[in-house]
Amino acid sequence: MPDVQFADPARCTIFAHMLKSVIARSAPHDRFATIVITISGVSTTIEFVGERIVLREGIAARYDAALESDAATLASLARGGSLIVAWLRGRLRLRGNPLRLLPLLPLLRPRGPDKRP
Amino acid sequence: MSAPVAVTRGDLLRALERIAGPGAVSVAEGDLLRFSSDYTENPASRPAVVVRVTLADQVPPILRLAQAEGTPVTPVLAASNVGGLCIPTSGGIVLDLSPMNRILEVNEADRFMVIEPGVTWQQVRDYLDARHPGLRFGYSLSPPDTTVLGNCLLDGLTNLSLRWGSMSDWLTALEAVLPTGERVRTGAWAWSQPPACRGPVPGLEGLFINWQGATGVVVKAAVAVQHNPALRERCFYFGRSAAQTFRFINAVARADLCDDLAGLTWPLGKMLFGEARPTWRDPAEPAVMVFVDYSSDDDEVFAAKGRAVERIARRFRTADEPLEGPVSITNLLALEPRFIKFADWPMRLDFMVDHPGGGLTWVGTYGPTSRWPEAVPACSELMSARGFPPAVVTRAMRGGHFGVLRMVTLFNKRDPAEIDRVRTLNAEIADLAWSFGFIPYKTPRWVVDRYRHRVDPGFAALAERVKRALDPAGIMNPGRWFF
Repeated sequence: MPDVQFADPARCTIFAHMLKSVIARSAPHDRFATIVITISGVSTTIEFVGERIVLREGIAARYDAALESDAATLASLARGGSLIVAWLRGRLRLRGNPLRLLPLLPLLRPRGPDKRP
Repeated sequence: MSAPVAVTRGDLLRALERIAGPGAVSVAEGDLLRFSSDYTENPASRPAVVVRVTLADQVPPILRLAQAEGTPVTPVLAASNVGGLCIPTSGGIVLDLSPMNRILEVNEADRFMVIEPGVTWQQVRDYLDARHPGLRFGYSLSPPDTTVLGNCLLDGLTNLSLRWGSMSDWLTALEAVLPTGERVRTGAWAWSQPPACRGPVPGLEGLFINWQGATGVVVKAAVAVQHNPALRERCFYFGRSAAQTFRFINAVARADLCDDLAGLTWPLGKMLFGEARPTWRDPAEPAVMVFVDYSSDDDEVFAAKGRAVERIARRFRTADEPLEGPVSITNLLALEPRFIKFADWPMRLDFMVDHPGGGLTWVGTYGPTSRWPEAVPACSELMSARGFPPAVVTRAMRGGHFGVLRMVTLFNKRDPAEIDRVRTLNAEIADLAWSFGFIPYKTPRWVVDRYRHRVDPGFAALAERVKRALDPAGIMNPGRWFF
Protein backbone atom coordinates (compact mmCIF):
# COMPACT_ATOMS: atom_id res chain seq x y z
CA MET A 1 0.00 0.00 0.00
CA PRO A 2 1.66 3.27 -1.03
CA ASP A 3 1.94 6.16 1.39
CA VAL A 4 -0.51 8.67 -0.12
CA GLN A 5 -0.81 12.09 1.48
CA PHE A 6 -2.35 15.47 0.85
CA ALA A 7 0.14 18.32 0.77
CA ASP A 8 -2.44 20.46 2.58
CA PRO A 9 -5.31 18.47 4.14
CA ALA A 10 -7.33 21.67 4.56
CA ARG A 11 -7.32 22.29 0.82
CA CYS A 12 -8.54 19.12 -0.85
CA THR A 13 -11.08 19.01 -3.61
CA ILE A 14 -13.65 16.25 -3.68
CA PHE A 15 -11.88 14.83 -6.74
CA ALA A 16 -8.57 14.81 -4.82
CA HIS A 17 -10.28 12.73 -2.15
CA MET A 18 -11.44 10.29 -4.81
CA LEU A 19 -8.00 10.18 -6.45
CA LYS A 20 -6.36 9.46 -3.11
CA SER A 21 -8.65 6.50 -2.63
CA VAL A 22 -8.05 5.24 -6.18
CA ILE A 23 -4.28 5.57 -5.81
CA ALA A 24 -4.28 3.78 -2.50
CA ARG A 25 -6.21 0.89 -4.05
CA SER A 26 -4.40 0.76 -7.38
CA ALA A 27 -0.82 1.35 -6.24
CA PRO A 28 0.48 3.03 -9.37
CA HIS A 29 4.20 3.66 -9.19
CA ASP A 30 6.76 5.82 -10.83
CA ARG A 31 9.73 6.55 -8.64
CA PHE A 32 9.95 10.19 -9.59
CA ALA A 33 7.28 11.91 -11.65
CA THR A 34 4.83 14.75 -11.44
CA ILE A 35 1.49 14.22 -13.07
CA VAL A 36 -1.52 16.49 -13.29
CA ILE A 37 -5.03 15.13 -13.42
CA THR A 38 -7.84 17.50 -14.26
CA ILE A 39 -11.37 16.26 -13.65
CA SER A 40 -14.20 18.50 -14.79
CA GLY A 41 -11.96 21.54 -14.61
CA VAL A 42 -10.57 20.76 -11.14
CA SER A 43 -6.84 20.03 -11.20
CA THR A 44 -4.78 17.94 -8.82
CA THR A 45 -1.03 17.49 -9.05
CA ILE A 46 0.26 14.07 -8.07
CA GLU A 47 3.91 13.87 -7.10
CA PHE A 48 5.55 10.47 -6.96
CA VAL A 49 8.57 10.90 -4.71
CA GLY A 50 10.19 7.58 -3.96
CA GLU A 51 7.70 5.60 -1.89
CA ARG A 52 5.57 8.63 -1.13
CA ILE A 53 2.76 10.00 -3.24
CA VAL A 54 1.67 13.56 -2.53
CA LEU A 55 -1.52 15.14 -3.84
CA ARG A 56 -1.56 18.88 -4.20
CA GLU A 57 -4.40 21.13 -5.24
CA GLY A 58 -3.90 22.90 -8.61
CA ILE A 59 -1.41 22.54 -11.45
CA ALA A 60 2.30 22.37 -10.69
CA ALA A 61 4.53 24.77 -12.59
CA ARG A 62 6.43 21.80 -14.06
CA TYR A 63 4.95 18.40 -14.69
CA ASP A 64 5.78 15.34 -16.75
CA ALA A 65 2.36 14.35 -18.00
CA ALA A 66 -1.24 15.40 -17.75
CA LEU A 67 -4.62 13.81 -18.16
CA GLU A 68 -7.88 15.69 -18.46
CA SER A 69 -11.37 14.28 -18.46
CA ASP A 70 -14.70 14.53 -16.67
CA ALA A 71 -16.17 12.55 -13.80
CA ALA A 72 -18.71 10.74 -15.96
CA THR A 73 -16.03 9.50 -18.40
CA LEU A 74 -13.66 8.42 -15.63
CA ALA A 75 -16.46 6.59 -13.84
CA SER A 76 -17.38 4.81 -17.05
CA LEU A 77 -13.72 3.87 -17.70
CA ALA A 78 -13.51 2.49 -14.17
CA ARG A 79 -16.24 0.02 -15.14
CA GLY A 80 -14.39 -1.11 -18.22
CA GLY A 81 -15.24 1.56 -20.79
CA SER A 82 -12.82 1.89 -23.70
CA LEU A 83 -9.89 4.24 -23.22
CA ILE A 84 -9.36 4.53 -26.93
CA VAL A 85 -12.97 5.41 -27.63
CA ALA A 86 -12.96 8.03 -24.86
CA TRP A 87 -9.74 9.49 -26.28
CA LEU A 88 -11.03 9.48 -29.87
CA ARG A 89 -14.20 11.24 -28.77
CA GLY A 90 -12.21 13.92 -27.01
CA ARG A 91 -13.52 12.91 -23.60
CA LEU A 92 -10.01 12.05 -22.44
CA ARG A 93 -7.08 14.32 -23.23
CA LEU A 94 -3.46 13.35 -22.61
CA ARG A 95 -0.38 15.54 -22.70
CA GLY A 96 3.31 15.11 -21.98
CA ASN A 97 5.75 12.24 -22.01
CA PRO A 98 3.81 9.09 -22.98
CA LEU A 99 6.06 6.89 -20.87
CA ARG A 100 5.30 8.97 -17.82
CA LEU A 101 1.62 8.46 -18.46
CA LEU A 102 1.96 4.73 -17.89
CA PRO A 103 1.57 5.00 -14.10
CA LEU A 104 -1.82 6.55 -14.75
CA LEU A 105 -3.20 3.40 -16.31
CA PRO A 106 -4.08 1.75 -12.99
CA LEU A 107 -5.90 4.94 -12.03
CA LEU A 108 -8.20 4.42 -14.97
CA ARG A 109 -8.85 0.80 -14.09
CA PRO A 110 -8.88 0.93 -10.30
CA ARG A 111 -9.13 -2.23 -8.33
CA GLY A 112 -12.19 -2.55 -6.14
CA PRO A 113 -11.81 -2.34 -2.40
CA ASP A 114 -10.48 -5.38 -0.61
CA LYS A 115 -13.57 -5.45 1.53
CA ARG A 116 -16.79 -3.64 0.75
CA PRO A 117 -17.76 -1.28 3.54
CA MET B 1 -30.13 19.52 33.61
CA SER B 2 -33.58 20.66 34.73
CA ALA B 3 -34.95 19.36 37.97
CA PRO B 4 -36.85 16.16 37.30
CA VAL B 5 -40.28 15.36 38.64
CA ALA B 6 -39.69 12.67 41.23
CA VAL B 7 -41.14 9.22 40.69
CA THR B 8 -39.37 7.69 43.59
CA ARG B 9 -42.31 6.51 45.60
CA GLY B 10 -42.06 2.81 45.96
CA ASP B 11 -45.76 2.27 45.43
CA LEU B 12 -45.71 4.02 42.05
CA LEU B 13 -42.71 2.00 40.88
CA ARG B 14 -44.40 -1.17 42.06
CA ALA B 15 -47.59 -0.21 40.22
CA LEU B 16 -45.59 0.30 37.02
CA GLU B 17 -43.93 -3.08 37.56
CA ARG B 18 -47.31 -4.73 37.98
CA ILE B 19 -48.39 -3.34 34.60
CA ALA B 20 -45.22 -3.79 32.55
CA GLY B 21 -43.44 -6.56 34.44
CA PRO B 22 -40.59 -6.31 36.96
CA GLY B 23 -37.79 -6.35 34.39
CA ALA B 24 -39.42 -3.57 32.36
CA VAL B 25 -39.11 -0.79 34.93
CA SER B 26 -35.70 0.72 35.49
CA VAL B 27 -34.19 3.44 37.60
CA ALA B 28 -30.67 2.29 36.76
CA GLU B 29 -28.27 5.16 36.16
CA GLY B 30 -27.30 3.89 32.70
CA ASP B 31 -30.92 3.74 31.53
CA LEU B 32 -31.74 7.19 32.89
CA LEU B 33 -28.66 8.66 31.24
CA ARG B 34 -29.41 7.04 27.90
CA PHE B 35 -32.74 8.86 27.68
CA SER B 36 -31.45 12.17 29.07
CA SER B 37 -30.06 13.60 25.84
CA ASP B 38 -29.73 13.08 22.11
CA TYR B 39 -27.32 14.07 19.33
CA THR B 40 -28.26 17.73 19.57
CA GLU B 41 -27.26 20.81 21.52
CA ASN B 42 -30.58 20.76 23.42
CA PRO B 43 -30.08 20.67 27.20
CA ALA B 44 -30.12 17.24 28.83
CA SER B 45 -32.79 16.32 31.37
CA ARG B 46 -33.00 13.08 33.28
CA PRO B 47 -36.15 10.98 33.58
CA ALA B 48 -37.03 9.49 36.95
CA VAL B 49 -37.88 6.06 35.58
CA VAL B 50 -37.80 4.20 32.28
CA VAL B 51 -40.61 1.78 31.46
CA ARG B 52 -40.05 -0.58 28.56
CA VAL B 53 -43.39 -1.38 26.97
CA THR B 54 -43.86 -4.62 25.06
CA LEU B 55 -47.64 -4.69 24.56
CA ALA B 56 -50.18 -2.06 23.52
CA ASP B 57 -52.41 -3.18 26.39
CA GLN B 58 -49.81 -1.96 28.88
CA VAL B 59 -50.07 1.64 27.69
CA PRO B 60 -53.59 2.61 28.92
CA PRO B 61 -53.04 1.62 32.58
CA ILE B 62 -49.64 3.35 32.60
CA LEU B 63 -51.16 6.58 31.29
CA ARG B 64 -54.09 6.35 33.73
CA LEU B 65 -51.62 5.87 36.56
CA ALA B 66 -49.46 8.79 35.41
CA GLN B 67 -52.51 10.99 35.10
CA ALA B 68 -53.69 10.13 38.59
CA GLU B 69 -50.24 10.93 39.97
CA GLY B 70 -49.67 13.98 37.74
CA THR B 71 -46.46 12.39 36.49
CA PRO B 72 -45.08 13.52 33.11
CA VAL B 73 -44.76 10.85 30.40
CA THR B 74 -42.40 11.11 27.44
CA PRO B 75 -43.00 8.48 24.74
CA VAL B 76 -39.69 7.52 23.13
CA LEU B 77 -38.78 5.33 20.17
CA ALA B 78 -35.16 5.48 18.98
CA ALA B 79 -34.40 8.76 20.83
CA SER B 80 -32.57 9.93 17.74
CA ASN B 81 -34.62 12.81 16.33
CA VAL B 82 -32.58 15.93 15.71
CA GLY B 83 -34.79 18.30 17.65
CA GLY B 84 -34.47 17.27 21.27
CA LEU B 85 -38.11 16.16 21.10
CA CYS B 86 -37.73 13.09 23.31
CA ILE B 87 -35.67 14.67 26.05
CA PRO B 88 -37.86 14.41 29.18
CA THR B 89 -37.62 18.07 30.09
CA SER B 90 -39.87 17.60 33.13
CA GLY B 91 -38.44 14.27 34.21
CA GLY B 92 -41.09 11.69 35.07
CA ILE B 93 -41.63 8.51 33.07
CA VAL B 94 -39.91 7.69 29.82
CA LEU B 95 -42.15 5.28 27.99
CA ASP B 96 -39.73 3.28 25.85
CA LEU B 97 -41.86 1.88 23.02
CA SER B 98 -38.98 0.35 21.06
CA PRO B 99 -39.69 -3.23 22.22
CA MET B 100 -43.07 -3.03 20.48
CA ASN B 101 -41.56 -3.84 17.13
CA ARG B 102 -43.79 -6.25 15.26
CA ILE B 103 -44.83 -5.93 11.65
CA LEU B 104 -48.38 -7.15 12.15
CA GLU B 105 -49.58 -7.31 8.57
CA VAL B 106 -48.48 -6.58 5.04
CA ASN B 107 -51.30 -6.37 2.54
CA GLU B 108 -49.76 -6.81 -0.90
CA ALA B 109 -53.00 -6.35 -2.83
CA ASP B 110 -53.95 -3.01 -1.24
CA ARG B 111 -50.37 -1.96 -0.49
CA PHE B 112 -50.29 -1.11 3.17
CA MET B 113 -48.70 -2.56 6.26
CA VAL B 114 -49.67 -2.44 9.92
CA ILE B 115 -46.78 -1.85 12.26
CA GLU B 116 -46.04 -1.28 15.91
CA PRO B 117 -44.14 1.85 16.96
CA GLY B 118 -40.73 0.23 17.43
CA VAL B 119 -40.44 -1.16 13.88
CA THR B 120 -37.22 0.07 12.26
CA TRP B 121 -36.34 0.96 8.68
CA GLN B 122 -34.00 -1.99 8.34
CA GLN B 123 -36.66 -4.32 9.69
CA VAL B 124 -39.13 -3.19 7.03
CA ARG B 125 -36.53 -3.49 4.29
CA ASP B 126 -35.55 -7.00 5.33
CA TYR B 127 -39.15 -8.08 5.77
CA LEU B 128 -40.30 -6.81 2.38
CA ASP B 129 -37.24 -8.17 0.57
CA ALA B 130 -37.76 -11.59 2.09
CA ARG B 131 -41.53 -11.90 1.93
CA HIS B 132 -42.89 -9.26 -0.42
CA PRO B 133 -40.30 -8.46 -3.08
CA GLY B 134 -43.03 -6.92 -5.18
CA LEU B 135 -43.31 -4.08 -2.65
CA ARG B 136 -40.99 -1.28 -1.62
CA PHE B 137 -41.00 1.34 1.08
CA GLY B 138 -39.54 4.83 1.42
CA TYR B 139 -36.52 5.21 3.68
CA SER B 140 -35.28 8.23 5.54
CA LEU B 141 -31.66 9.35 5.79
CA SER B 142 -31.69 8.43 9.45
CA PRO B 143 -29.82 5.36 10.70
CA PRO B 144 -31.38 1.98 9.78
CA ASP B 145 -32.08 1.17 13.43
CA THR B 146 -34.35 4.17 13.95
CA THR B 147 -38.10 3.88 13.63
CA VAL B 148 -40.60 4.27 10.84
CA LEU B 149 -43.47 5.47 13.00
CA GLY B 150 -41.40 8.22 14.62
CA ASN B 151 -40.72 9.62 11.17
CA CYS B 152 -44.39 9.27 10.14
CA LEU B 153 -45.70 11.05 13.23
CA LEU B 154 -43.12 13.83 12.94
CA ASP B 155 -43.81 14.32 9.22
CA GLY B 156 -40.32 13.35 8.12
CA LEU B 157 -39.22 12.53 4.61
CA THR B 158 -37.93 9.56 2.67
CA ASN B 159 -36.40 8.71 -0.68
CA LEU B 160 -39.90 8.40 -2.16
CA SER B 161 -41.29 11.66 -0.81
CA LEU B 162 -41.02 13.32 -4.21
CA ARG B 163 -43.81 11.03 -5.41
CA TRP B 164 -45.82 10.34 -2.29
CA GLY B 165 -45.16 13.23 0.07
CA SER B 166 -43.82 13.46 3.59
CA MET B 167 -44.32 10.44 5.81
CA SER B 168 -47.50 11.60 7.48
CA ASP B 169 -49.09 11.37 4.02
CA TRP B 170 -48.27 7.66 4.02
CA LEU B 171 -50.31 6.98 7.15
CA THR B 172 -53.70 5.52 6.40
CA ALA B 173 -54.81 4.85 9.98
CA LEU B 174 -53.65 5.03 13.57
CA GLU B 175 -54.52 3.31 16.81
CA ALA B 176 -53.68 5.55 19.74
CA VAL B 177 -54.07 5.68 23.49
CA LEU B 178 -55.24 9.02 24.81
CA PRO B 179 -53.58 10.48 27.91
CA THR B 180 -56.73 9.54 29.82
CA GLY B 181 -56.31 5.90 28.83
CA GLU B 182 -58.99 5.48 26.13
CA ARG B 183 -58.05 3.79 22.88
CA VAL B 184 -59.04 5.29 19.55
CA ARG B 185 -58.72 4.28 15.92
CA THR B 186 -58.67 6.78 13.06
CA GLY B 187 -59.41 6.76 9.35
CA ALA B 188 -61.51 4.15 7.63
CA TRP B 189 -60.08 1.70 10.18
CA ALA B 190 -62.41 3.20 12.80
CA TRP B 191 -65.37 2.12 10.69
CA SER B 192 -64.30 -1.00 8.89
CA GLN B 193 -61.43 -3.14 7.63
CA PRO B 194 -58.93 -2.99 6.00
CA PRO B 195 -57.10 0.24 6.99
CA ALA B 196 -56.48 1.11 3.37
CA CYS B 197 -57.42 4.77 3.43
CA ARG B 198 -57.94 7.71 5.75
CA GLY B 199 -61.17 8.98 4.31
CA PRO B 200 -63.96 9.60 3.95
CA VAL B 201 -64.19 10.37 7.65
CA PRO B 202 -62.94 13.30 9.74
CA GLY B 203 -59.14 13.21 9.89
CA LEU B 204 -58.63 12.49 13.56
CA GLU B 205 -55.13 11.18 12.88
CA GLY B 206 -54.23 14.86 12.68
CA LEU B 207 -54.57 14.93 16.47
CA PHE B 208 -51.39 12.87 16.69
CA ILE B 209 -49.34 13.93 13.67
CA ASN B 210 -46.70 16.56 14.48
CA TRP B 211 -47.95 16.85 18.08
CA GLN B 212 -44.67 15.34 19.24
CA GLY B 213 -46.32 12.91 21.63
CA ALA B 214 -48.19 15.66 23.46
CA THR B 215 -51.66 14.25 22.77
CA GLY B 216 -51.27 10.51 23.29
CA VAL B 217 -49.34 7.39 22.42
CA VAL B 218 -49.72 5.76 19.02
CA VAL B 219 -49.51 2.00 19.48
CA LYS B 220 -50.26 0.81 15.97
CA ALA B 221 -50.29 2.36 12.51
CA ALA B 222 -51.25 1.44 8.99
CA VAL B 223 -48.73 2.83 6.51
CA ALA B 224 -48.75 2.71 2.72
CA VAL B 225 -46.18 0.60 0.89
CA GLN B 226 -45.52 0.95 -2.81
CA HIS B 227 -45.16 -1.24 -5.86
CA ASN B 228 -41.53 -2.20 -6.47
CA PRO B 229 -40.64 -1.54 -10.12
CA ALA B 230 -38.29 -3.92 -11.87
CA LEU B 231 -35.98 -1.23 -13.22
CA ARG B 232 -34.40 1.44 -11.04
CA GLU B 233 -31.59 3.90 -11.59
CA ARG B 234 -29.76 6.36 -9.40
CA CYS B 235 -27.50 8.83 -11.12
CA PHE B 236 -25.70 11.99 -10.14
CA TYR B 237 -25.30 15.42 -11.66
CA PHE B 238 -22.67 17.86 -10.46
CA GLY B 239 -23.40 21.59 -10.66
CA ARG B 240 -20.89 24.37 -10.19
CA SER B 241 -23.44 27.06 -9.43
CA ALA B 242 -25.97 26.51 -6.67
CA ALA B 243 -28.53 28.82 -8.23
CA GLN B 244 -28.32 27.10 -11.62
CA THR B 245 -28.40 23.62 -10.09
CA PHE B 246 -31.54 24.35 -8.11
CA ARG B 247 -33.28 25.70 -11.17
CA PHE B 248 -32.41 22.38 -12.82
CA ILE B 249 -33.78 20.41 -9.85
CA ASN B 250 -37.02 22.38 -9.93
CA ALA B 251 -37.43 21.74 -13.65
CA VAL B 252 -36.91 18.00 -13.17
CA ALA B 253 -39.35 17.90 -10.25
CA ARG B 254 -41.98 19.60 -12.35
CA ALA B 255 -41.53 17.06 -15.16
CA ASP B 256 -42.89 14.26 -12.95
CA LEU B 257 -40.23 11.75 -13.97
CA CYS B 258 -38.45 10.79 -10.78
CA ASP B 259 -38.88 8.96 -7.50
CA ASP B 260 -36.36 11.10 -5.70
CA LEU B 261 -34.48 14.27 -6.40
CA ALA B 262 -32.06 15.78 -3.94
CA GLY B 263 -29.26 18.30 -3.85
CA LEU B 264 -26.35 18.05 -1.43
CA THR B 265 -23.83 20.86 -1.12
CA TRP B 266 -20.11 20.17 -1.48
CA PRO B 267 -19.11 19.77 2.21
CA LEU B 268 -21.29 16.67 2.51
CA GLY B 269 -19.27 14.96 -0.24
CA LYS B 270 -16.04 15.74 1.55
CA MET B 271 -17.45 14.60 4.89
CA LEU B 272 -18.28 11.29 3.23
CA PHE B 273 -14.56 10.99 2.45
CA GLY B 274 -13.56 11.61 6.03
CA GLU B 275 -12.91 15.34 6.09
CA ALA B 276 -14.41 16.34 9.44
CA ARG B 277 -14.86 20.04 8.85
CA PRO B 278 -14.43 21.07 5.22
CA THR B 279 -14.54 24.82 4.82
CA TRP B 280 -12.48 25.30 1.66
CA ARG B 281 -13.75 24.80 -1.87
CA ASP B 282 -11.92 25.18 -5.16
CA PRO B 283 -14.11 27.55 -7.21
CA ALA B 284 -14.03 25.03 -10.06
CA GLU B 285 -15.35 22.24 -7.87
CA PRO B 286 -18.98 21.17 -8.01
CA ALA B 287 -21.00 23.23 -5.54
CA VAL B 288 -23.96 20.86 -5.49
CA MET B 289 -24.26 17.13 -6.07
CA VAL B 290 -27.69 16.17 -7.33
CA PHE B 291 -29.01 12.69 -7.09
CA VAL B 292 -31.78 11.58 -9.33
CA ASP B 293 -33.74 8.34 -8.94
CA TYR B 294 -36.20 7.01 -11.45
CA SER B 295 -37.86 3.67 -12.04
CA SER B 296 -40.28 1.74 -14.20
CA ASP B 297 -41.39 -1.76 -15.05
CA ASP B 298 -41.17 -1.00 -18.74
CA ASP B 299 -37.82 -0.86 -20.58
CA GLU B 300 -38.88 1.89 -22.94
CA VAL B 301 -40.45 4.09 -20.27
CA PHE B 302 -37.38 3.61 -18.10
CA ALA B 303 -34.96 4.64 -20.85
CA ALA B 304 -37.20 7.53 -21.84
CA LYS B 305 -37.15 8.89 -18.29
CA GLY B 306 -33.35 8.95 -18.26
CA ARG B 307 -33.28 10.71 -21.63
CA ALA B 308 -35.89 13.24 -20.50
CA VAL B 309 -33.87 14.17 -17.40
CA GLU B 310 -30.80 14.64 -19.56
CA ARG B 311 -32.72 16.83 -22.01
CA ILE B 312 -33.67 19.07 -19.10
CA ALA B 313 -30.04 19.13 -17.93
CA ARG B 314 -28.96 20.36 -21.38
CA ARG B 315 -31.18 23.42 -20.98
CA PHE B 316 -29.23 24.45 -17.92
CA ARG B 317 -25.69 23.69 -19.10
CA THR B 318 -23.50 26.57 -20.16
CA ALA B 319 -19.76 26.94 -20.67
CA ASP B 320 -19.51 28.96 -17.45
CA GLU B 321 -21.87 26.80 -15.46
CA PRO B 322 -21.33 23.19 -16.45
CA LEU B 323 -23.81 20.70 -15.10
CA GLU B 324 -21.92 17.49 -15.36
CA GLY B 325 -23.57 14.11 -15.59
CA PRO B 326 -25.34 11.84 -15.52
CA VAL B 327 -22.95 9.59 -13.63
CA SER B 328 -24.60 6.32 -12.77
CA ILE B 329 -24.17 5.16 -9.20
CA THR B 330 -22.86 1.83 -10.54
CA ASN B 331 -20.07 3.59 -12.44
CA LEU B 332 -19.35 5.92 -9.55
CA LEU B 333 -18.96 2.96 -7.20
CA ALA B 334 -16.36 1.44 -9.52
CA LEU B 335 -14.35 4.65 -9.23
CA GLU B 336 -15.01 5.34 -5.56
CA PRO B 337 -16.48 2.54 -3.44
CA ARG B 338 -17.21 4.88 -0.54
CA PHE B 339 -20.22 6.12 -2.50
CA ILE B 340 -21.82 2.86 -1.36
CA LYS B 341 -23.28 4.94 1.45
CA PHE B 342 -25.42 6.72 -1.13
CA ALA B 343 -26.24 3.56 -3.06
CA ASP B 344 -29.01 1.82 -1.21
CA TRP B 345 -31.62 2.31 1.47
CA PRO B 346 -31.77 2.50 4.41
CA MET B 347 -28.32 4.02 4.75
CA ARG B 348 -26.14 4.77 7.72
CA LEU B 349 -24.36 8.06 7.16
CA ASP B 350 -21.86 7.30 9.89
CA PHE B 351 -19.79 10.38 9.15
CA MET B 352 -22.69 12.37 10.61
CA VAL B 353 -23.23 10.41 13.80
CA ASP B 354 -19.94 8.61 14.50
CA HIS B 355 -17.42 11.43 14.64
CA PRO B 356 -15.17 12.41 17.54
CA GLY B 357 -17.28 15.37 18.74
CA GLY B 358 -20.46 13.32 18.53
CA GLY B 359 -22.79 16.31 18.06
CA LEU B 360 -25.27 16.57 15.20
CA THR B 361 -27.83 19.28 14.77
CA TRP B 362 -29.72 20.91 11.97
CA VAL B 363 -32.26 23.45 11.05
CA GLY B 364 -34.48 21.31 8.85
CA THR B 365 -37.27 23.17 7.14
CA TYR B 366 -40.07 22.75 4.62
CA GLY B 367 -40.89 25.53 2.23
CA PRO B 368 -41.27 26.74 -1.33
CA THR B 369 -38.82 25.17 -3.79
CA SER B 370 -38.98 28.32 -5.90
CA ARG B 371 -36.85 30.02 -3.22
CA TRP B 372 -34.05 27.40 -3.23
CA PRO B 373 -31.87 29.24 -5.78
CA GLU B 374 -31.63 32.19 -3.36
CA ALA B 375 -32.03 30.43 -0.02
CA VAL B 376 -29.31 27.79 -0.43
CA PRO B 377 -26.51 30.26 -1.29
CA ALA B 378 -27.67 32.63 1.47
CA CYS B 379 -27.71 29.92 4.17
CA SER B 380 -24.39 28.54 2.90
CA GLU B 381 -22.77 31.95 3.13
CA LEU B 382 -24.03 32.40 6.69
CA MET B 383 -22.65 29.03 7.79
CA SER B 384 -19.28 29.75 6.16
CA ALA B 385 -19.14 33.20 7.75
CA ARG B 386 -19.60 31.58 11.17
CA GLY B 387 -16.79 29.10 10.51
CA PHE B 388 -18.94 26.02 9.88
CA PRO B 389 -19.03 23.92 6.70
CA PRO B 390 -22.01 25.01 4.60
CA ALA B 391 -23.60 21.56 4.55
CA VAL B 392 -27.07 21.86 3.07
CA VAL B 393 -29.45 19.09 2.07
CA THR B 394 -32.43 19.75 -0.17
CA ARG B 395 -35.12 17.42 -1.37
CA ALA B 396 -38.07 18.01 -3.65
CA MET B 397 -41.29 16.74 -2.06
CA ARG B 398 -44.68 15.69 -3.43
CA GLY B 399 -44.07 16.55 -7.04
CA GLY B 400 -42.00 19.57 -6.08
CA HIS B 401 -44.96 21.38 -4.48
CA PHE B 402 -42.64 21.98 -1.55
CA GLY B 403 -39.17 21.01 -0.55
CA VAL B 404 -36.70 20.42 2.22
CA LEU B 405 -34.00 22.91 3.09
CA ARG B 406 -31.84 21.49 5.84
CA MET B 407 -28.65 23.07 7.18
CA VAL B 408 -26.61 20.40 8.94
CA THR B 409 -23.93 21.07 11.54
CA LEU B 410 -21.61 18.61 13.22
CA PHE B 411 -20.09 19.80 16.46
CA ASN B 412 -18.21 18.81 19.56
CA LYS B 413 -20.69 18.04 22.32
CA ARG B 414 -17.94 18.26 24.93
CA ASP B 415 -17.09 21.85 24.12
CA PRO B 416 -19.53 24.29 25.83
CA ALA B 417 -18.22 27.23 23.80
CA GLU B 418 -18.91 25.38 20.57
CA ILE B 419 -22.39 24.45 21.76
CA ASP B 420 -23.09 28.15 22.32
CA ARG B 421 -21.81 28.96 18.83
CA VAL B 422 -24.04 26.24 17.38
CA ARG B 423 -27.11 27.59 19.20
CA THR B 424 -26.41 31.09 17.86
CA LEU B 425 -25.81 29.73 14.36
CA ASN B 426 -29.04 27.71 14.36
CA ALA B 427 -31.05 30.73 15.47
CA GLU B 428 -29.52 32.84 12.69
CA ILE B 429 -30.13 30.13 10.12
CA ALA B 430 -33.74 29.70 11.23
CA ASP B 431 -34.31 33.46 10.86
CA LEU B 432 -32.79 33.42 7.39
CA ALA B 433 -34.69 30.33 6.25
CA TRP B 434 -37.91 31.81 7.68
CA SER B 435 -37.35 34.93 5.59
CA PHE B 436 -37.51 32.72 2.48
CA GLY B 437 -40.71 31.01 3.70
CA PHE B 438 -39.15 27.85 5.16
CA ILE B 439 -40.59 26.57 8.45
CA PRO B 440 -38.63 24.18 10.71
CA TYR B 441 -40.01 20.64 10.86
CA LYS B 442 -39.63 18.24 13.80
CA THR B 443 -39.83 21.59 15.47
CA PRO B 444 -37.65 22.05 18.55
CA ARG B 445 -38.92 24.11 21.44
CA TRP B 446 -36.38 26.86 20.90
CA VAL B 447 -37.89 27.47 17.46
CA VAL B 448 -41.40 27.67 18.94
CA ASP B 449 -40.22 30.18 21.54
CA ARG B 450 -38.42 32.24 18.91
CA TYR B 451 -41.40 32.55 16.56
CA ARG B 452 -44.32 32.33 19.00
CA HIS B 453 -45.17 35.98 18.48
CA ARG B 454 -45.45 35.47 14.72
CA VAL B 455 -47.80 32.49 14.86
CA ASP B 456 -51.46 33.15 14.10
CA PRO B 457 -53.08 33.67 17.53
CA GLY B 458 -56.09 31.60 16.50
CA PHE B 459 -53.81 28.66 15.66
CA ALA B 460 -52.04 28.77 19.01
CA ALA B 461 -55.31 29.12 20.95
CA LEU B 462 -56.95 26.21 19.14
CA ALA B 463 -53.86 24.04 19.63
CA GLU B 464 -53.95 24.79 23.35
CA ARG B 465 -57.69 23.93 23.54
CA VAL B 466 -57.11 20.63 21.75
CA LYS B 467 -54.21 19.84 24.06
CA ARG B 468 -56.29 20.58 27.18
CA ALA B 469 -59.21 18.53 25.87
CA LEU B 470 -57.06 15.48 25.21
CA ASP B 471 -54.59 15.82 28.05
CA PRO B 472 -56.36 17.63 30.90
CA ALA B 473 -53.62 16.81 33.41
CA GLY B 474 -50.91 18.01 31.02
CA ILE B 475 -48.79 14.90 31.48
CA MET B 476 -47.83 14.12 27.89
CA ASN B 477 -44.32 15.16 26.82
CA PRO B 478 -44.40 18.58 28.52
CA GLY B 479 -42.33 21.36 27.01
CA ARG B 480 -43.34 20.82 23.39
CA TRP B 481 -44.97 23.42 21.17
CA PHE B 482 -46.87 25.89 23.34
CA PHE B 483 -47.48 23.48 26.19
